[in-house]
Order: sequence, then C-alpha cells, then structure tokens
Amino acid sequence: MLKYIVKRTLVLIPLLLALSVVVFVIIQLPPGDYLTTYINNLRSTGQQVTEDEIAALEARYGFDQPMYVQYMKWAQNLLRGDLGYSFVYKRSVNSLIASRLPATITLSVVSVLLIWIIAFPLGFYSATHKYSLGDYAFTSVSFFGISVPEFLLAIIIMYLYFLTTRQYAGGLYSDEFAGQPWTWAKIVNMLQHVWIPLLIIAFTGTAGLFKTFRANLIDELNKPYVKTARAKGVGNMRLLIKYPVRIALIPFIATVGWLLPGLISGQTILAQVLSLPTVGPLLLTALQNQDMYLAGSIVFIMGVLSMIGTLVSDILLALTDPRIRSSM
Amino acid sequence: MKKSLSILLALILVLCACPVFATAESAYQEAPALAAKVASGELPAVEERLPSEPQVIEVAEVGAYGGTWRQAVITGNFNHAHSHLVGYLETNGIIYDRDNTTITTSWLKEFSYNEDYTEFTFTLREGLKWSDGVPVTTEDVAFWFNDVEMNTDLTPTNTYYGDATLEIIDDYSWKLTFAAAKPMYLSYWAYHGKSRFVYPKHYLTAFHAAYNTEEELAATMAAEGFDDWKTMFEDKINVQKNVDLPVLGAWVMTADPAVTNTITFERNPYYWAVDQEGNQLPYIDSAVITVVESTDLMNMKVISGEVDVQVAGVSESLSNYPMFAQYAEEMNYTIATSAFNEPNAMNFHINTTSVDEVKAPYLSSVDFRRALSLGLDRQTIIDTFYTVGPFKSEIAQTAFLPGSPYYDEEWAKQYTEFDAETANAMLDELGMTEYGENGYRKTANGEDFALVILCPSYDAQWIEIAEMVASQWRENLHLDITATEVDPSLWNERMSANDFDITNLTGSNGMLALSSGFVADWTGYSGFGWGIRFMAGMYNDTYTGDQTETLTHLQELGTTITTETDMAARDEEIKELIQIWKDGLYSLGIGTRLPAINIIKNNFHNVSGLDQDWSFGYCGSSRGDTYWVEQ
Repeated sequence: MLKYIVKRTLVLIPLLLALSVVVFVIIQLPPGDYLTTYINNLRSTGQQVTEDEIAALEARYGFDQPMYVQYMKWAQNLLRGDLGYSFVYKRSVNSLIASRLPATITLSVVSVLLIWIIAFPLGFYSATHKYSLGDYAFTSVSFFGISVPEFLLAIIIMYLYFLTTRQYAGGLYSDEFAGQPWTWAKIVNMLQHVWIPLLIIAFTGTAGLFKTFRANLIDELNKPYVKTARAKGVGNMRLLIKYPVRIALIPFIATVGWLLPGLISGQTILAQVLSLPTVGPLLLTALQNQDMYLAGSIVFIMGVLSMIGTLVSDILLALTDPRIRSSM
Repeated sequence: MKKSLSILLALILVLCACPVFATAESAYQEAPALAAKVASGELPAVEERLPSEPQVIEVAEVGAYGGTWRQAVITGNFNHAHSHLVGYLETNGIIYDRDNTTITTSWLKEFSYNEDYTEFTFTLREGLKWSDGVPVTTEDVAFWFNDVEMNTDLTPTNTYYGDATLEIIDDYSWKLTFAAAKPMYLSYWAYHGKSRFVYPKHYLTAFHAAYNTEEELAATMAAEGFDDWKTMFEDKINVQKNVDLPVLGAWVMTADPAVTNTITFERNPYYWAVDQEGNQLPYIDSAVITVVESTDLMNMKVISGEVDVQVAGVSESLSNYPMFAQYAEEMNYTIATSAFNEPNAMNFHINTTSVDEVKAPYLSSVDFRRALSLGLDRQTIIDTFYTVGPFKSEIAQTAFLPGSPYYDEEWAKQYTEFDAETANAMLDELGMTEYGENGYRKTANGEDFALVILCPSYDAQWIEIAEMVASQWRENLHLDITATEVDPSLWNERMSANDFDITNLTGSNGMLALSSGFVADWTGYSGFGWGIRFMAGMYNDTYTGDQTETLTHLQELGTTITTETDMAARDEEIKELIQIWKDGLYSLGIGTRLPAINIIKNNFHNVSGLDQDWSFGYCGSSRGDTYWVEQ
C-alpha cells in the first residue's frame, strides 16, 4: 500500500511540469494578449492609446519577449510560491486569491455538506421505498432541479426577492459590513444573504447526486447477497448500511477527488450571478481579459488540486473496496 | 466738543465691530465630524487646513454636511466610478469647467502661457496640503517631472514631455518649456488624468530607486512583496489601489477594493475647495462603491434604490429605461439624461483604401458611397433600434454634433434621405447594370460583387443593426452585402491588415469642444483613434490609389491643427478637414446618439453636468464635491 502511494506521488512530478506548460500555452492560445484586450477596452470607451504607449507597456509587461521566456519567468516564480502579477487588478495574484479564499472555501464546503445531507437520506429513502408517493415526489423535484440552470434560478429568485422585499439580494453581506471585522451583526446579516445561494445549490446540486445514489442502491438491493443476508435474518437497517449502501457509495468515493478543485472554482456561475466574492468570478474576469498570470495560476492550482484529489480518491477506494485492494 | 463726541462714537463703533473682525477670521465652516476632531486636537483648524486661497465654487444650492454616496460598479470598470467620484479633480490641476468648454484650474491657483505656446507657467494654491496634511510644494512637482516623467525605467518613451524642460521658480510656481509649440496642450492637460504635475514626494521616495541604496530598496521590496522596484512604485502611485497614498481628491480611499469587493472612502479633511459661503467641500461625508459582477446585478442595484448617483454601468443601458422607470417613483430616484459626445449612434465606415481588385474601384468611389447612403431607410432602423421610451434618435450623418463650434448642418444632413431610385440610378451610372443569377448587381466587368460588413462583437446589438443595414442594401440596391460578427481581437487584426470592406461601430468625439483627442479620431494621426480604421491602407502603406493625396493631407492636417498657434488659421484648417470628410463621405451615420442615462436619488442635490466624455473626465465636468444629501 505504502509503495503504491509513493509511486503515485512520484508520477505527479512530471505530470505537474506538463500541466504547467499546457496551462500556459492554453492561456496564450486566443489571439492577442492582455494588452490588446486592454487597448480594445479603452478604445470601446473612446479613450486613446498611442503606439509609443503600447510599446512601453509591452516592454513593461514583457509581452515583447518570446513565449518560452515568459513561461520560464512564470515557472521559476511558481516554484518559489509566487504566482505572479495580475494586470487587471494590479495586484499580486497571491494576495488576490488569498483575499477570496475564506469565502470560497466556506461556500464550497457548506454547499457540499448541504448537498450530501439532503441527497443521501433522500436517495436512501427513495431507493428503499421505490415507487412510493415520497419517491415520486422527490424524483419529480430532482428532475426539475436538474433541468433548471442555476444562473437562471438565481436571477429569478433575486427578482422575486426584490418584488417582495424591495431589496437587493446579491453579495454575501450588505455594503456597510464590507471590510468590517466579523461581528455578530455581520454574521446575522450574512445569514440573511447566504440562504439564496444555498437554496439554489440545494435545489440544483442535490438532484444529480440523489438520482445516482438512488439508482445505485436499487441495483444493489436486488442482488442475491442481500436476499441471502435477509434470509439469514440480518437486521434490515444494519444490512442496508453495512453492504448495499457501502457499495452504492463507491462512485462517489471515486469522484471525491473532484471536490478539491471544486473548492476553488465551485459555483463559479452562481457566484458570478449573485456577486459573491469568491475565486470563480476572479477566474472568469481573468480569462475574459487575458490576464495570463492570474488565469494561469488559478487553472494551475485547480489542476494540482485535481491531481491530489485523484490520488486521494484512489487511496480511499483502495481502503473501502477490498476488491481493488486485492488487485494492487 | 461735537468733534470729540463723534470721535468717541467712531471709537465705540470700531470697538463694536471688533467681534465682527474676529468672526471674519474664521470665514470657513467645516463638517461637524471634522469640527469635533479639531476640538479634540486631532486636526488643525479649518483655516490652517485650507489653502490661503481655496477654490470658491458657486454652487446652485448651499448644501448640508453629511451622508454617504453609494455607487456600484461592474467588475473591471472601477476606474469609471472612481473617476466620477474623485478621479479627474484629483489627478488634474487643470480641468474643464462645468460648462464643458472653458478650461479652468482645480488645486492649481493659476496658469499662463506665452504666445508661441512653448512656455507654460503654473502656480499652486499656497498652503495646499496632501490628505495627510503635508504641504504640496514644487518639490512634489520636481519629483513628478524628474523622477517619474523623465525616469526611463518608469516612462520608457515620453510622448508628452519628451521635448520639455522644467524650471522651478519658487515654492509654488514652475515653468514647463517645450521645444515645439503645444497649442493643444491646454485641452490635453484638461483631459482626464493628464495634468497631474505633483506626486507626494515625502511618501513615495521610500519606494524609488533614486532615493535609496540597493540594499534599502531590496529590503523594502521584500517587505512589500515585489520583485522589481518599478512594479512596486507603480503599485504605490496607483490611487485606485493604494490606500496609504496621500491624495488631493475630495474623498480618500479607505479600503482596498480587491480585498473587500466594496471600496470605501472618507472625506479629505485637507480638501482645497469651498462653496460661496465658505463651507469646506465636499458636503458628503463618505462614499461606497460596491463591485458587482454583471449588468443584471447593476440593474438590480438600481431598482432596489441602492445607488445614489450612478453613471458608470448604467449610462449605456438606455434599453433598460422602461424597467428603471417602472420603479423610479417607488424607490425615490430620478432618471436623468445627459449627452454623449459621439458623432453618431452607429457609424458604417467604408474602406476607401481597399486594395481588393474587384471591390476597390467601388469602395473608393464617392458616388458608390453616396448611393449606399441614399439606399438606407434610416427611419426604420431608428424605429427598430433607437427608439426607447420617450427617446428617439434623429436621422443624421456621421458629423460634428449640433452644439459644436464647428457644426456644419449640410454635412450632418447630406445624403440622409431615403431615395432608392436615385441610388439605383447612381449604381447604374457606375456600370453595375448586369445582374447575376442570385439577383444581385455585378461589376462593370461582369464579375461577382459581394461585400461584408465586419462587425466587432463589443455589443450584441451592433450586429443586429449591421444585419438590418445589409438587408436594406440587398433589397433596395440589389447589392450582395452581408454582415458578420467577429471577436474584437480578430477584428483588430483585420482592420490593421486592411482586410475589410465595411465595418460598423460607435465612435467618440463629436467635437463638442475642441480637445486634443479629436485629432486621433478625425485624422487618424495617432493611429489608434477610430478614424484610422477606414484609412487602413494608408496606415500600413498598402494603398497607393488616387485618393492618396487627399488622405495624406487629412493626416497632415492632424499635425498642423495640433501645432497651429494662430487660432484663426486653426479654424480654417478645421474647416478644411470638415470639407474633406464632407466630400469624401467615408462614414455613413444612422442617427444622433441617444442620450446617456444617469440614476440620481431624489434626496441628492446639485447633481448636474454628467455628460459622457473622457475628454472632460468620465462624467463630464460634474463636480461630486458639490453634491449634497438631504437627510
């Protein structure tokens, strides 16, 4: 087992190197660079930039150098933990990501927990009470949840909220609390705002998990070993939890690694629509403006987290599933 | 006796008058919050904080102190809201007055220049102070000029001050001398952020290579987290980022926008302007700018009544007018309108310098362009796209706006009537009498003739308008013209490569006032105004056709006009430029630009002059420091 982990970890090193190259190249693929976007934006608002200014800016940001030189500069800084400088925000990428990390991770963790807390019990109930009234009810709601895009739901809920309360529902807290230390009043204010994203996440995010879990569990329930166990008189709850549920969970453990990058980029569209101060909108702005170090760094971090997440998934799978362990 | 009595009486009068003199000494009033700080000894008295001659602004209503000004801004456009709030007053010693025409001073006391426009003398208001209370002197001017403008690390190529020398006269006055005449430099300096002249030397020397040893600089960079000093210095002088930077604006930023998503401002106790009654400005205590992620959220902010005076992010949303109007009364705001200084709602630029063998003879023919103009049913386009609520665009050609000192009615109206018959006759005259199997006209040589309107995807509506125009040309003139939308980056490349037939976009500078920006727009002089885009062949030297002389002359006029020191001669040159545009009909307009909309809360007063033009600062010359809130 230990040998397996060490081997998998060593493989990550060349993979990381390849990832950094791919990320950098992909970010540079669209025509132009940050400067052309910047100049275009200036021009669309009627401002002028002269050629001298552009040449000066190019030299200033190093855009006049070949791509591999730019890459080497970025990669070297990356090794030292310096993610570079954001052209759009005129700040170091480290400080930008750090400032948004607490809200991002909180929102992601809370939404994942919320989804699990809702989806697993409901899936369990629906599978064990197949074709009951409750099953039909949950299944129809989940169909709705899958089919309505979250950004649309967010806009509709915000507008309904405005129509009923005449108040703006975006952001994580009201303007007067921004930049203030966390006080009781700020927490209360945040709870008044945060229910909207959570409601939307619960509605749209739960559905997929619920349906997969229900289907997996139903498959397992009809297998002979369950019948045998029942025939031998194993208690119903004990039987369900110990065997079929464990097996029905395997697909989720296999994908638990995806949660890690999701911590950073999760709920991007929702955060964009609701104006939540998370990393998601930062990535979107960076990509739109070809702010290459910011975009590259976020994508790179997500890549690294995906790799680590996959490793963690594999280890967890080996731990939970004896069949995998024996094949190692 | 009588005489001594009268002397006594006079003495009594003088004595009585003394308290009057005593109060006259504190002719200035200040905000209650600042008065409290003065009382507790935290701040010096208001007379000591103000310059000896503060700027006196004649306000429409003398306001009451207090309140918060809330704005929202769409991510990435922070500079717009910031400019509205403090930007142009803060960074510009010379500004456009509230009439958008006269050039006046802000924190500068006065300026003068010689007849040749080569020497410009400026004087600071004596006793002017940075927001941290440190006096502003010509030390700061010398620092700005020698250590920033003339520093080749920070300013590698200096377009503006390359031929300038600075002479410090005394603590408050200095003179800039230029090798070449700069008659347009006054309007250039009044342009947003250009007449900066001062940087807070006392604060910035700590971050500048010339004032530190290498070890000191390395230590500062390590502490501040930078790996080259230029980035650090640029970071430190960035007023939109650094909360520690001493400023001259009415409000001082107190929270870093990227960290909080909400940018907060507090009044500057050392602000240099007062109203006619001696009340130190600004009236409003604080300001908040909330960063939102999209236009939808901006609209929600507006209808929720959570913005007070808002221009950035709503001004171009005239299509939202019905929604804004629906809640205006209930949520206590007014929708005001202001002018865009733009020559037309939509300009269709025809590539007169095309080098395509088949298309060039027509694109470069003024009769062909006139036929295209006559073949447009502009009223239908206006009814479809430029009629919103009570606002309706008026048919107009791309030209200087009514209200411009150089307005030419004939130019603004020429070839705008819809006359398909004449247009078709003109095309026949050009030899396009044969029709292909597809029903469209062929060239005189019998070749297929198809044009494409290349529309950059800045705005979703632009392509819809281009498609309607193309379909009108297909139906009315039997010309095979289609419209296609491309990403701005690609559009940009094709423009520079002279690889387009027709392109459409909005434009800037309708010449409401003659500013230096117009040169780039109307002569293509600098190469990055929108003007050059339809002279691309001239620009990249691929075009050598028979219009070369006219277009070269047009470009030369750009230089002549900016350097002309005789104002009467300059007017003649501008008229010459108008004539070239008028005769050439290089750009077809649809109608006048619809107004910009501004949201103003009903309890906000003195809000005016929010015209949209970067020449005057983002929000025209509206002065936020004079706004006041009725509590």
